[in-house]
Amino acid sequence: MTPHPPGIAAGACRAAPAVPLWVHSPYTNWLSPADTLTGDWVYHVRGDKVGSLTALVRIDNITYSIMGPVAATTSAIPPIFPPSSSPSSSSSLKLSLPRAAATTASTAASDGPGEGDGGLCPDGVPGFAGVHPMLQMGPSAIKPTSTHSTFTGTTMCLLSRLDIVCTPARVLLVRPCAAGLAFCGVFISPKADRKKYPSCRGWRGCSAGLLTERRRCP
Amino acid sequence: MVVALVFSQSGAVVPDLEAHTPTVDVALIVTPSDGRPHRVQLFFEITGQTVVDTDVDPVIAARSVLPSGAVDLSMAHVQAAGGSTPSVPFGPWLQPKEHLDWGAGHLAVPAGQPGIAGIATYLGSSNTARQQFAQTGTLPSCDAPGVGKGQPACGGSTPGTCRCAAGAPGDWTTMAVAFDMELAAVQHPALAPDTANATATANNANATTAGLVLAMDDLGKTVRFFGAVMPEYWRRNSTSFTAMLDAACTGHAASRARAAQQDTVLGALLERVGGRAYAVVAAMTFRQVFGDNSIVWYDGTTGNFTAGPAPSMARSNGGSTGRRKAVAGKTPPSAMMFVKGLGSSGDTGTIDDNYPAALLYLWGQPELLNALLRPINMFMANETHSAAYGFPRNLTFPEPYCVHYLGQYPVAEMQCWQRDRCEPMPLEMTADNLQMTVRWRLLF
Repeated sequence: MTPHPPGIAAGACRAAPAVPLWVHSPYTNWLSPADTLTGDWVYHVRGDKVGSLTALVRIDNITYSIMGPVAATTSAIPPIFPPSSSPSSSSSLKLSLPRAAATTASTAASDGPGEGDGGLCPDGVPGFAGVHPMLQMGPSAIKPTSTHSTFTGTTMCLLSRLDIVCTPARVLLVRPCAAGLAFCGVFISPKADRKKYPSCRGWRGCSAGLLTERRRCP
Repeated sequence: MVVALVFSQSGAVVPDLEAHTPTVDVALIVTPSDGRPHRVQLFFEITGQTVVDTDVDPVIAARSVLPSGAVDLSMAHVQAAGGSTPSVPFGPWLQPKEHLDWGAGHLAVPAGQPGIAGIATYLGSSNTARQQFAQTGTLPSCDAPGVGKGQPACGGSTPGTCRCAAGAPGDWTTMAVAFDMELAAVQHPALAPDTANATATANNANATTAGLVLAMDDLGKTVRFFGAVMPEYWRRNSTSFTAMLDAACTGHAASRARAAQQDTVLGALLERVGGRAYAVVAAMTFRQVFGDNSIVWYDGTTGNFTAGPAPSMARSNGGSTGRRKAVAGKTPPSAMMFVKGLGSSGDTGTIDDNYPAALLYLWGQPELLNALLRPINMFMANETHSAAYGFPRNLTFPEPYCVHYLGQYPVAEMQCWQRDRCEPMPLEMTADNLQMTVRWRLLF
């Protein structure tokens, strides 16, 4: 039986919160945070700065976006991803991560047969995502750039589904850790927290599928 | 039609520290699946936002041709490019920058790529580039006026202004490349490519690959460690950036293949251990672990690493006996590795940030474990001390336990010391350090 992380129900497919792309050093560290590679810009690892890495492909005079929400932000560009005019018979393109991208993160656009429902559960793997759903492209790719939830004023690309609320109290909110165990709280910025709540110093943890954000005040 | 976009950390394949370079190979791999002829044009760009700290910082762009014929587009903060206000990479001491505004980002396009009918490059407005490509599949034939000459970029009023067109959404000064390929009809097209397997996609007999190389040049100033300005590790042999980048361009196909080979081996191992889900998570973690560290070169002579006072055990032994004797200049030239904490005000040299990755270093490149421990242990051994200077270079570490971290990236000079003594966590940090040091010593 293929193992899956505790706290995540079997059969529930999960999105990895971000995929590192151009990653070399603490400063040169750009990841794709959205559910599709075209769903949002590539962000700096801190989640507070856009890096406009984009890629387009033009196949037989029809242009498609591969990376970055180009169509949503550049109105002069003709519609990319026209739902009914894909290069072949399919109306959507699918992207997937390689089996184990130890040193390579990959996406692919395909007009071939689909790989399952949204490409999220390849090979019948139950539980945690085997494939990053951000890599599925389709008409949704032309939606405007998604609005991320913010955490003490800083855009947190990976916390878009966590909706954490900070208060000066000792214990903060506990919400389902929809993004998966391994990534909880990575993008929280204590620096920003401290400006807002200077008396609090935080630590983060994640257990049993819950993101716990706690504050210890003097 | 399958179009795969592959980012390969081929400059940082772990077992080969000597081959470490600041490059990432990007491949756009096109594989027809219907047997019919197609014209495929590809566009890739990096904007100036990637080389500045804030979006209003100015940039200067340039282009050149490398010895191999590769086209090298670059973009740098105007300060790093020697503009009107020359700067240094190390900003206000207690206010570490969260993003790069030092150095130059490069997008290089190797020459002579098989199957590519045409390559065009462009420096200028990203909106202009995207729009023209979307409509025609081409790029403007000339760079935007003034770009690369320190003149107003994209029609702005400030020399080298990063944001273009009065702040139009999504429009920035950009480095763009377009590839043109004519795919002939094939009588027996391959079976539907495995889009979940980048290696298989790239190895498809009908695949055509457009390659480019991304690189970041820290200009020889990556980290400052008690007065020692340390360059990138790949500079240890006095290799020029141009030579390094040119070599990366000529070897881009081979380096991608090497990365794919490691991908295959490590992927299989991870999948066998924990299943495919585990392998995917581990693969991304693998990239990020190495991406959150800078590997630099300590030449053994910079800084003040001479006769410092003996490591103090003053609190436990009265300060007069039982001290180890410091040995001047005992740390030989070597690699050092500095982390930048993501959620900790940018702390560097942090013991517990890298402790969870210790097993990965031990598996892949044990020297990296030593590289991250070396500056920490050098400081605690007072090798960084110099009585001739003021704080922090005359600082000695008085505690009988391991320091928590060394400062705020990219300055590792205990600038946090006078604030809160760098948040001491004696038990955890000492245990982490001892476990990593002992494990490394058992290997060598």
